[in-house]
Amino acid sequence: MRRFDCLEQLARMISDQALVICNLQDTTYEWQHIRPSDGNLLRQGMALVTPVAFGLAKALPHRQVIALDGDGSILLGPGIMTTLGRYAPKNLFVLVFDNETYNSGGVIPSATAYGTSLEAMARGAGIKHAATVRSLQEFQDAVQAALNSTEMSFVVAKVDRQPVEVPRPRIDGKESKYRFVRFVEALEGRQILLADEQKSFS
Amino acid sequence: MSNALIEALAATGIDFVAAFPSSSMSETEREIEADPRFECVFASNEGEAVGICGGAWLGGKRPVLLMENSGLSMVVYQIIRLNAAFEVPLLMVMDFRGDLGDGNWWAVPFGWTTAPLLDSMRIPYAIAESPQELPGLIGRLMRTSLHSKYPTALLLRYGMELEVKHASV
Repeated sequence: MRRFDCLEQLARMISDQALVICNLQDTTYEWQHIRPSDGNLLRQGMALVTPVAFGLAKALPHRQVIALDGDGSILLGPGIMTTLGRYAPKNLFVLVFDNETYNSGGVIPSATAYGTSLEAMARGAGIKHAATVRSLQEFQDAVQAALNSTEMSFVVAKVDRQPVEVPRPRIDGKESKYRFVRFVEALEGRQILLADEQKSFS
Repeated sequence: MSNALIEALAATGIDFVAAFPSSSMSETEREIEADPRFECVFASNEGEAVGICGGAWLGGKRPVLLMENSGLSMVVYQIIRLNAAFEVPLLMVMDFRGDLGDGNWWAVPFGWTTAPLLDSMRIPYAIAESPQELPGLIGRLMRTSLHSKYPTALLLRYGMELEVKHASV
């Protein structure tokens, strides 16, 4: 199964207003190509994708927040799974593309290539709705269930190592951040950047 | 009695707290968790809390990270990768373990590595000597962080009593 095909499927299933936090490199390139939107926060670092998505989901409990994470990133900061298990924000959907590899680091296998199960870790961390999918049909069913659910979901999609070649986004992380915040400001109808200039504090 | 740190955080418009258990601030952290003025999350480690604060800020919250300075060694990667690379604000408030007078042998190295770690990341910081200074320092550090879109930090002198007889703000 290719991550690209999963992402195409996902893009057809989510709202234009969904806020999506993207893992670095190929996940960012493929997703921004498929769903170009300022509602995508691009190029997030390893071990930061799901924590940032979690903080965003807690800040905006009425908005759909989706993390597009990877196996290497989750394995660098697995503690976030216990935080997800503990607080389980119902508007958060964590999707982990597990290609069993540190691809951007030079194609070195990760622990999931040797038996580590992210789904089992998630369940052990207290996450109630965790699943592993291996086909596009399973992926579609799991995403539909996650989007319809009133509880947090954690889905591990087993995907090929080889990414799909697409043009790279022409914006860096700083610009993506500004665009993302402007997107949230428009959604929410309120000011975030420089908001303190409107009201003083001590 | 009121807690000078909590009142100073609220007066600065802080409405989101990511915390890691901190021995001298444990009572404060429990009070914050029960205080409806704050959304409060305990993270499994301080680096994860940096990411959580970043996400909360993107969503329009004004977050703070509460921890001991021992957590500073745990947040270096996340601060460089998120706050420095993307220019995202963050206020950290830390107990100063290993400060003069701290009698714990293991805390001493955290004391001598704190300022060099902050300096290496070019993080502006202040040391609060008394609870009365907290509103002013936290307000200035928050404003600097929001406008520079970069972290700032406040260290609390070891042994500082945060519960005061009258609200300081």
